[in-house]
Amino acid sequence: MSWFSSRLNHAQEVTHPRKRFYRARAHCNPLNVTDFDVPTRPEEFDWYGTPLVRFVDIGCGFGGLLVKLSTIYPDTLMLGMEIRDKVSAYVRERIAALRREHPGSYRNASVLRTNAMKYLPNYFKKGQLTKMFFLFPDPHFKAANHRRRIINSHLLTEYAHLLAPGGWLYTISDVPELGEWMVAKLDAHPLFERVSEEELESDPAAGLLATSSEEGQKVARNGGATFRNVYRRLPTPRGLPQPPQAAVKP
Amino acid sequence: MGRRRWNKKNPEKARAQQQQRRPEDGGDPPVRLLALQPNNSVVGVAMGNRVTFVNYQTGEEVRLEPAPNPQQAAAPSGGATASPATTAAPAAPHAGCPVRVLHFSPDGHFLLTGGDDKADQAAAAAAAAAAAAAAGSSWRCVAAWRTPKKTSAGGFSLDGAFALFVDKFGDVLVGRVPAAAAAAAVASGEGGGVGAAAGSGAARGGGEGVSSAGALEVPVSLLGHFCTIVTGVAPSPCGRFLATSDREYKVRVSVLPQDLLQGSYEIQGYCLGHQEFVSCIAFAVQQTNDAGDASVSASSARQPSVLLSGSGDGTVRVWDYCTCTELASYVASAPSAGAAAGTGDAVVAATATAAAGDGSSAPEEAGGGGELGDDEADGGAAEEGDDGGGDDDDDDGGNVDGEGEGEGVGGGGGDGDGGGFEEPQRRGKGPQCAPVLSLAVASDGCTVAVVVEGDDEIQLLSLDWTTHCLSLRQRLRWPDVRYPCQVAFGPMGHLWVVGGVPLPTAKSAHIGVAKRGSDGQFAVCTEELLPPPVRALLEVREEDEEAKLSEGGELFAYSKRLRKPAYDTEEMQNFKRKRNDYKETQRLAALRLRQDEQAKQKQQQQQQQQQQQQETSQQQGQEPHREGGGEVVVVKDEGKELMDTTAP
Repeated sequence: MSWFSSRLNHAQEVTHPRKRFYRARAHCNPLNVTDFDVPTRPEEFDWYGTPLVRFVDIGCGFGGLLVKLSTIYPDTLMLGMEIRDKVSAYVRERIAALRREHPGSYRNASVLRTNAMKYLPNYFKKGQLTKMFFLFPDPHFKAANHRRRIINSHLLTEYAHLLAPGGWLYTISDVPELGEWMVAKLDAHPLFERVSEEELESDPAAGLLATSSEEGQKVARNGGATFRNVYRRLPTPRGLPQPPQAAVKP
Repeated sequence: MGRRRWNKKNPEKARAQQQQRRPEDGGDPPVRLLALQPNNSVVGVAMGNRVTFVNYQTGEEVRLEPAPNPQQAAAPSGGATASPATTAAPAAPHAGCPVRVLHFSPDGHFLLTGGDDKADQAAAAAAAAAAAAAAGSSWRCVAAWRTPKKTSAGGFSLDGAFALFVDKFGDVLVGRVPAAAAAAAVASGEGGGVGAAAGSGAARGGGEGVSSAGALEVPVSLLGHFCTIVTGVAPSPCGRFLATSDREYKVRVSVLPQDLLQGSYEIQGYCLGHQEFVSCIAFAVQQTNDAGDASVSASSARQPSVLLSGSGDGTVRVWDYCTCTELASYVASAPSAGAAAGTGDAVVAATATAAAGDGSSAPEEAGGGGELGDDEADGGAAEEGDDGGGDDDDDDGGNVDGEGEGEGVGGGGGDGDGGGFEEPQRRGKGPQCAPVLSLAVASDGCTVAVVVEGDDEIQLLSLDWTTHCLSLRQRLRWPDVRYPCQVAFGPMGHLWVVGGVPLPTAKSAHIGVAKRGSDGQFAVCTEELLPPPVRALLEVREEDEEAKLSEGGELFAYSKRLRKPAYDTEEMQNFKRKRNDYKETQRLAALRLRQDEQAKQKQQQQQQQQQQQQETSQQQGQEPHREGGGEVVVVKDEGKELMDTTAP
């Protein structure tokens, strides 16, 4: 029994989960020491014989992007990681309902409840992922909390380790300052290079970034602007231009 | 009214609602450190605020000069000469705060010290062996750094050109160490390091410019684990990699660039396998031909080497760090369930006390934790139960190794947090056992010394290079060193150990030496190497501490901080109760309930006349509390949703 289809049941009517029963607080402190069942090694996690996961949505929220991607890339396994308990339960129920509704589809998407900032290397091997998605991450405005931002130089090193060379890292945000921050960090990392807009136009996943997730739909409803930045993981580090003497604030 | 305004109006209530400071945030207990200078015969012992360096062959003490203060730098003391004149009193470096890092560079030219004053990380240049006499046995500080957070460990790069600092927030910082011949002015290399080296929000990327006045430099961020205590940092013998270990059970091997100030952005891999925090790492190089030392040499890059790591799950694992695979694992201390010990003396009194002490301290801090003073009456009461449990289990499990098996009993000690906010119970993933505190590899690459917390014996393992397996060769105990906490191998092949009573207020430090005999076994030789006056310089013995220990007073486990706290649901609910938005949610929920009740009453009173009004008010008004949400309440107010998810 494949892990991805383990939630299949034979109910006659398909009831989708209702968000109002799964509402949770928006912010979850990623530094919390909560006991997740984290595998010691990627090999020790029971993937039920499925091929390797290739797409990861970090902070998948209510799963909007996952379900859209699942139909566009039906042969690629994709995983959403969400730290909030209720919300990850919602995504699980949603995917189960979709599988019942469309038999044969949505078998390639699933969700994990875990702290992605700490435990990504426990789940994925080096160079396993080909796409990573960071949709509307928490801005953490206070300077003291900047270390909790999901895109920072140290975590970029980890993401580069998990992304296969040539893999893409998608980010989008509606906070301008966060968008600039992410661009600055990604530009400063020698293993990442910006993907041009022309390439983005032809990429189906990039088009989904702005409106597929619930957060993106809310931003569109409120008429906000979004800042999309997609970067490619390079096989070899590029040389960085030496900055001027002024110290760059990290 | 807003929160800030309410706080201003009710300052007492605001202060009462404020979260209390956790006892563990009050500072870590002091540690005992040991450092041996390669190529020379100087040994250094640090205990708490005290650092002492002694040349054990000549018997003279080496003084360390503190870092030059920026205020005092106005005087032209930054010259090339050692100048004890201006800073009049030879105060100890890091005066007044516990020393956490004591490390010599591989060639023995430099010494890195770090303390809890996150300012001054002074790398005092130890004059090399030959020039020690010329310098007048006093080492001056050639570089000082200001780190943004307190350091938890430190080290040098393989060539000694860079000093590495590691803190409890996961940052590994690097600072350039000037060449031995340079003056007190530090070479500026910071500007170029900014490119890829932007670190966390707290570290300042790019050091400040350093003038010869000796302003404190800021180290550049090299890499980072995500917000976890980094416990060890070691460069690989080939110089290409850096291994770092942290509290999240991981050992990470990163690729080092040529110039460390550029930052390390490429990870070689993660050595995953430990079930608990990793407390110490070390590289072992196989010596093939000559019995020379494992210091930097052209041949060491070609010799096979492995990475060893010791962890809180009681195992020492051997890794191939290029492929990050586990080669072997040795269980240094087994969990109390079922592990019967074979040989070894049974010092039952010490065992029971140690076991009971550890059993009471590590898993359950019902007695108010090791942070508080000795006269904690309920601490004694709670520990009575644990003592009994610890003793029982020790006798049953046949624990004759003196290991802290009693920690396994900690489950029994789980009764009753006392009132107030004590240390949370700390639990790991695997079964409880005494952690490995420290390990050291001999220069021949075949002998590994392992210290297990709470155990008076040090385990000496031999590393077989064909199978990469570790096997126990000898258990060594020093008659006068209690509770060893760090071991190191000296340049002559001696095994040094430092230990002491692990009380939070302890000041004692015991030191011991052993040397390898002709049969390959180590034998204690402290008296030969350290004549009593020399020994007195290094050691501090306090009789009353030993007495307190045998009483079973509070002990703290060195590794307590490294375990993750495990909160049960009640405590989590407690935390949530103080959360502002949680309170707001509850208040609004109660408000809505009351309003619903009132609306219902109105409805019942005037049923027929106000049908239409009720309908409109129900459409626009509030929905009652739904039971499906559990403790989360959904409230709709005039069509606008509160508590909506704002950002994932």
